[in-house]
Amino acid sequence: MASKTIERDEESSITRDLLDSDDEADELSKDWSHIAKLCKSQAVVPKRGDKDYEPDGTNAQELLLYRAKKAMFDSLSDAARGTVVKNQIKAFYVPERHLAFISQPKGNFMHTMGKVDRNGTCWLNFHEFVYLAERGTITPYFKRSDREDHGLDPLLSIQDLYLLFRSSQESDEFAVFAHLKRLGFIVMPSQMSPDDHNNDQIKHMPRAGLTDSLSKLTKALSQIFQVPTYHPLQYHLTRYTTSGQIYAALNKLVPFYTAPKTAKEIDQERYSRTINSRKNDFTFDVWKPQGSFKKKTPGLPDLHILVLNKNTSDYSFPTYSVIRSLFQSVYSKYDGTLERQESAAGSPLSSKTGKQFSKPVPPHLEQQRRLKKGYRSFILAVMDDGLISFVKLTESDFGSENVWFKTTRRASKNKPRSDRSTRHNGGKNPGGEKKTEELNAIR
Amino acid sequence: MDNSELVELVKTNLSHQQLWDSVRSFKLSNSDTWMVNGLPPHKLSNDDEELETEWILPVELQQYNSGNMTLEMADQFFAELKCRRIILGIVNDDGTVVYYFMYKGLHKPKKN
Amino acid sequence: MDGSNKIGISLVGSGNGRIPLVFDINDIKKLRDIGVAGILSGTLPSAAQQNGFLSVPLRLMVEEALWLTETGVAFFISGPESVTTAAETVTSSEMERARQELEHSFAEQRVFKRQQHAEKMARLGLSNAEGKETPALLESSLFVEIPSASSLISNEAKRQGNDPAQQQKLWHKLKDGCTNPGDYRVYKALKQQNYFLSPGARFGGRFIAYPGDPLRYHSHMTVQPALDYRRDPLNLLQVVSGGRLGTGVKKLWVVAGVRAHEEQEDIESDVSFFSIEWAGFG
Repeated sequence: MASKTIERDEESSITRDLLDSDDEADELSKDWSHIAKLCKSQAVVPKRGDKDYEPDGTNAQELLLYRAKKAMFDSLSDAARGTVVKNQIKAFYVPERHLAFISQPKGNFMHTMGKVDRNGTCWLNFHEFVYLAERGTITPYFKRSDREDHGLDPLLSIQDLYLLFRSSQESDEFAVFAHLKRLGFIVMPSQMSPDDHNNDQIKHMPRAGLTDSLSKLTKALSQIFQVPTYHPLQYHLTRYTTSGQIYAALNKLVPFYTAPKTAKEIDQERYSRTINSRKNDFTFDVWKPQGSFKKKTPGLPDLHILVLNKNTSDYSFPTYSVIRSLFQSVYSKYDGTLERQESAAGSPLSSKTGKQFSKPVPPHLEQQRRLKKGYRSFILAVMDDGLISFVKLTESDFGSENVWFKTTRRASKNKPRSDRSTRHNGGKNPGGEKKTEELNAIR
Repeated sequence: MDNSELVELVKTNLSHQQLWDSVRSFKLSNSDTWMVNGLPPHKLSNDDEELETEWILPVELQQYNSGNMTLEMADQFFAELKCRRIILGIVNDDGTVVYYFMYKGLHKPKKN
Repeated sequence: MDGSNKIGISLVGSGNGRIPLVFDINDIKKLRDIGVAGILSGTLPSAAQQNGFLSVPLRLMVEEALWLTETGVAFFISGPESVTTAAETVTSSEMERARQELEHSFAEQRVFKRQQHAEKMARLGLSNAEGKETPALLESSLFVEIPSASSLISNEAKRQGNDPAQQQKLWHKLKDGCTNPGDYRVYKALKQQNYFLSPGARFGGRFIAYPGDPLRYHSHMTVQPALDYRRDPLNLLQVVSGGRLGTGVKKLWVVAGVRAHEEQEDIESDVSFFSIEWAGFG
């Protein structure tokens, strides 16, 4: 009913509206909050109507505003939080641990939330606890430390729950957590230690990390030897006969950062980072909604999220080095590999299987896609006094791409892959070295 | 705020690209700031009642330097010119000019 | 919540950065009537899988909380300790009273449900006895509410509200937690002209200003973080990008210069506003 009054055309006759308002004025004297508890109502969500430019002092406008407010407050007070006795699940907050436990765990939320300990008790982290209480799934109580039984454990209100947040940051993080949960995402505190994400690949990491740093060293050395290209003499000694040669020389002249592109390179970088520093971690790991999710073996997350509040005095936007270090700790599901990018731009979940059916894409389009889509990424959730902006940061790599002119037809047609594979191998593969040179010359 | 070097560019742009009439420049008193005024070829805003002489302040846009015009200076310009708005003629490093209304106080957006 | 009619603002967190929240729906109504809309941020239990319409708590901007307490409309309630202390010292008589309240609510619900059932049966032309609900079914369908506002800390809230020294301390802590202190004076100046204000990052500003309740009126301005009237230059790059953005979303791009504080406390002449929009050519 409330929503209908809002939806109705504003230009509907004023006399009729006035009559309606008389009816509503009668109803106002009733105590709506009582009824709300009794008939835990179906979703009554007011629709946003067309807004006006500014208040003009007319009764018609006053009426519309009155109704909009009434619809809003009605749906707020109609939607009481809580549960029917049959479905009640009691959760008890333990202040010392800042966690809550459920003695007899049941319910669908168990698939994606809570941790069951040896005794079969389910422990909810504080975000989960507040979120579930807010939607009425669990009933929150306070576990008193001085008593074994629950006889003197008081029921907590939503206000109590929020006051129990230990910092404003934790509360901001909760707002982002709840926002994502309401959209169906599976959200866990970020686990930066790769050990938790096991698998054999990572067990071999120490060696991989070593070779990686070695290869980095050789790369760095080779870059040092390229320094003479800065020397003005260079331009007297080299003869440039094609524009390609000029571009190739320019390419060497401008130093750039090469983003890791394959899943393997990314794993290696992350490993070398975890031994160095672990200061800047993400807030949440996020999985897309999925029925088959298992808490114990969640697999790689789909997204990493970092929560920032832009209005606090200690706020600063992440610096370049912080952002670099954040990129290095990304381990979410990676769909930035070149193989995948060739597949049609479908859903990331299907791209794995869709690979062999996809049509070949012309190299320049493929390149455009690489530049646009980039490689590793994470999401900043910027909190502005209750409004959240999600911003995706993606690592792109213009330096490694030849964006200035088309590669000669021969090079791109004959060996579309060799171009990339040599780039990825760097100087490691002695056979590939020559090809790299060739390509550089073409560039 | 010395903007003398921008005046000719903005005048030329107004006269020849934006087709304004009676484009003139003059120096504000007690200041090294120059203003340009002129008559636009048509009403600049639907909310304007009639065509009127507009005042343009030439300023330079620099990528890594936010310039030196404070709001106190803006107040002084308004005080001397006694107009309801000035137009910032923002000169870019490629010689193009973009124009922005600057009203004193809180102004409402166009209704349409 | 407390004895007086003041609105209770809960400050969440500890230290300087704190988040002002309001939990009482009647308080939220009062705020709306004096031009403070805030942002509803809790799950709406009747539509728990969406973010477009949310419920209590109402989150306020820090500037709003400062203004409401400075003008004596509201007071602060602070700290996890107020909850933990109150919870740890709940007496058995208080628990008994809570139990009785729940029982009372159950009794009301039973009456209502039986009546509803009888009406339904009558509509279907059945006698009341035929479709009698089993008592067990009725009992299991009783509703246990999780209240928004706390009764646990109501005494403590009252005490804090009547402690001016603590209120002062919290006010200054909250103010110190702001990125740009001048914004509070911009907020007050706009408030004096009866604007509704909301957070503005979505449109590239500090505040969005509405000429009336945002439920019914479009916003008019994107207000930039306060500038120092004498020292801070107008950033032309922001004027260009902001002015174009503003044209696209029909908002003026407003810059505000705040005079250094030694001079005067008079708000009217304290802040100078300028409104910028694309001129429509060039």
